[in-house]
Amino acid sequence: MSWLKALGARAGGMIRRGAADARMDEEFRFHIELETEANIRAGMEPREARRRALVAFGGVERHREVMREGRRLGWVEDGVRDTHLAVRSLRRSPGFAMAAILTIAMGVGATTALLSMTDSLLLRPLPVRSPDELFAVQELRSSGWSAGFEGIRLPYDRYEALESATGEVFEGLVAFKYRDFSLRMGEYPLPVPGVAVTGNYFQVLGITPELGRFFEASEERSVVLGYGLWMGRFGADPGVVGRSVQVDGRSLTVVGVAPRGFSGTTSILAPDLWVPWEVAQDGVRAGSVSSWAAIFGRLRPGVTPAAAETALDAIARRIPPETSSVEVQGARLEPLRGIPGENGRMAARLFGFLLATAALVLLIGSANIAGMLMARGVSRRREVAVRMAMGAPRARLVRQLLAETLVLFLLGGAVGVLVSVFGGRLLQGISFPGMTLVLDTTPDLRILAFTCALVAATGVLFGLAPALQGSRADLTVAMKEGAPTGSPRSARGRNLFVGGQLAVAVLLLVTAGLFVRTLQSTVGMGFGVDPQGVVTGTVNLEPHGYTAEEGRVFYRELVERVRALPGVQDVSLAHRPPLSAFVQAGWVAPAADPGPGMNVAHNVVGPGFFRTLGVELVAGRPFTPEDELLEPPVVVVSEALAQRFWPEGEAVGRWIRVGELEHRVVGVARHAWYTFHTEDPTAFVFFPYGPHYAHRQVLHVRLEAPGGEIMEALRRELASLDPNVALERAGPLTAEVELQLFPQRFPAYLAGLFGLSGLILAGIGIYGVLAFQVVQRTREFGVRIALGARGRDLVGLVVGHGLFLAAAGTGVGLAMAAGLTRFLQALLYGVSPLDPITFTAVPLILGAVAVLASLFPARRAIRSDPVKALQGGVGW
Amino acid sequence: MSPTNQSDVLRGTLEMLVLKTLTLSPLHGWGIGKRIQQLSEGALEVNQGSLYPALQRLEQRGLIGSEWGASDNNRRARYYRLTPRGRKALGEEKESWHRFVTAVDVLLEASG
Repeated sequence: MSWLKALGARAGGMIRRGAADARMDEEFRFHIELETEANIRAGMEPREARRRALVAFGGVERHREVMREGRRLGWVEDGVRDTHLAVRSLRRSPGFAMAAILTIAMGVGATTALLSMTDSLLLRPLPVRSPDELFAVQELRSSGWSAGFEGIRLPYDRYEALESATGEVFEGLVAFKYRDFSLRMGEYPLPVPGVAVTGNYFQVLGITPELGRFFEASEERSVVLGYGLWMGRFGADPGVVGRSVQVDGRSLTVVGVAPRGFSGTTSILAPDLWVPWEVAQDGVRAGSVSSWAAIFGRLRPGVTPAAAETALDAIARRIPPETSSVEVQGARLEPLRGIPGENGRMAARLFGFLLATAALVLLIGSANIAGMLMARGVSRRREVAVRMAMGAPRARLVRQLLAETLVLFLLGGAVGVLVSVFGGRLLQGISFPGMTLVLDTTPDLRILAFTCALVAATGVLFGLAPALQGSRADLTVAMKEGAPTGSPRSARGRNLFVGGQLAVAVLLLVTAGLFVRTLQSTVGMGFGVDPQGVVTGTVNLEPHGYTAEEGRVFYRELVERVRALPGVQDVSLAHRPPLSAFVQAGWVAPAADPGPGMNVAHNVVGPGFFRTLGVELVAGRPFTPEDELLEPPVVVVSEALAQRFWPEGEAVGRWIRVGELEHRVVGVARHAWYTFHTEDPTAFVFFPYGPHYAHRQVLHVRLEAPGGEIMEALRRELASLDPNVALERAGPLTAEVELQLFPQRFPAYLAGLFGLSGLILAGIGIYGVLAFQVVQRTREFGVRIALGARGRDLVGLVVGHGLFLAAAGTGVGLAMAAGLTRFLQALLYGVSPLDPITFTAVPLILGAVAVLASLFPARRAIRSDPVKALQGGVGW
Repeated sequence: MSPTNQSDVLRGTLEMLVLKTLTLSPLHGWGIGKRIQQLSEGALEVNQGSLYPALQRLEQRGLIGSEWGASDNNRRARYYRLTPRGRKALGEEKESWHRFVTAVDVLLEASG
């Protein structure tokens, strides 16, 4: 790298300035001495000889300065001059510059935002001591585990057994669980997302509090506040430590505040409270599912993850499970980071896909700019030729043309980063009842560095070809002819560029289409429930020390009070909201069938549930208040279950066996979403509320008219029954539906956005190449008109070219898409990766855009003036 | 033509001439000036002082190298020699010079 050497020499010159000055002075002196001697030999007086020598040399001080400048600033100056020239040249064509900058900004913005999101969700290590030593502990079980957002939950007893048996492997093992706590502040208790954790949690994580200290024992009646809650609700008051707050109706002492930037161990969820396990679980029946917890631990120094997993696996098999019906088949470790389990793998797949799409947008954009630069290069032939004639070496010209591209890309990149920051803000605002998605899209230094490198690399990559082409001017030809004619070779290059762009745009459009169709098919399936006008809220009496009997009274009273509120049409309780991702399931079989039957999700619902939610019954009747007392017990089953068990006939009146108990089917409900919207028509069982009391109930309220003060009224009624119980996850059911659709809607929006960007860019690409060719062929068109060609013929010529490009690009793009979309299979639902509708619509859309983009240049072609064309054709 | 462009041309020309004089043997600064004068049979007079910045630029670009040596009367002098890259660059400069002259010719013909 010769320029590196030169740079080194110059940098060295800066340091060894004194030495260089001395050398320079010695050279000057020597030169003047020789000249003086020569003058003396020519017969001059020594004084005169020296004077003449000095005059001939010129101002010593000035030469000295010039050389110093040369040593000091040579390369900086070159860079500055290149940049200056580039900016000046771009300012002469602001339209081109704007288009290019926006194009790059789109690609860079999308890539950066997604990269930041991926990083914050999946990659960024936890802000704790040696995060790579932390692992989530999971057991592989035949049944008997439950999944929370924070990971697989196991019985708390199991944690204790593992904790005491794995001392050799783990420095510390922690049990934790995310749940909402009710914090009494202001008029009504506030539902606050928090974590119940064992006393060693903070110590094992190894973090230092922002303020105060962390608790050290599971029994300590204390609480640690999250930084955000402390800033927001407590006004960052440093005096908060030592104060007492009401959490779930208990007085707990605030002992400390978690450090800024620490938001628990799971991405997306940002807890605001940490409560010692025993205190948080006080009142929870031992052994009940609410007492289960997720587990993580820190490996002892020197223990490898593989060794730890082997040891843990053996220990887990040895410890007998809580009941004989459960079989523990082993255990495994998973790095404690990002989103745990299957959700995390799904998210990784999704973000990988979205990143690839964003990169494709950047690729199309860059290709567009390369195309534009090439076109510009041709029209700038004369300028280049003149500069070459002035003695500028080719390398210098290439560097200057490249500087132009780099200036474009850097400006575009800067705008792109801004786009990513502000665009990301929009996403950060996404919140659902009782849950705010924490999507950090602010690029950190690593990402900014990566973006810079990406922008520079793309700039060089896509700037080099146009620069090389632009500087390859044939001097005599260019200067003589002066006309902006492109060689056939460069025209082919531009066609290829546009064709490639179109192919990539087709790929983007197809993926966008598939996601939109996925969304459509999920929504089109129908909810089975009518979410409009229904609000829900969760009430949890578990931490508040109620007995089952007191709980029943509480809920009966609550329902009556709510029913009496103005504007309320219907009200009902259920264990789970519809569309809840966390369902309970059990084994169900037709009573006559001796087999185990099938694992079926279920919900326990109060009277009026079907009416409140608008679930249609296709046969039989809904539950009545009398069903609570009815013996034997009854159920309502879903259409899918009825068809599965009794394909040949009527389900009402038949019997099913749940566990050991036989239940009579009284009704059949039309298919609906009960758990996950992407489920197949699900077998589902509804039990009446009466015999199956639970401390946690979801209140469903159907309103006569939407809006109003219903949330406020619900909170008031609840607080009047118990001032410590908060209404959790309160909000319209439509918001719950949104949350459920989020995994479909998010990629559909983004892929759609990228597809649209690709389409626009491709349209601009077609336009660019055709407009340029029309200008190039003005004379030809003029001659054609002179020879009697009609406007229609010329339009056909231009649009035909555009359509040809579109057809070629679409062909290649569809072939690529057909090969690649199967990798999206896991992210699609209800749509084949080769969805015929998508694969038909995309070429049509692209064709329409191609025609549209060709029409403007075509109009220009018609206006070619034959007289001018023939006059201007002197050198033609 | 702006003055900047003009000095560019002159600077480029001077550098080419310096490279040319060094094709025969290494020389010190004063010798280079004299050699240019000689070779052009006195037609080109080099501003002696401006020779040194030109030499510095050429050295920075790696087209020439330099060492201290002893002059004819045994005094310390800085000797410049052509590097292989410099030899190549001279070839290119020559060619581009010819192109330039042709181009100017063409221009003059066309406007005449």
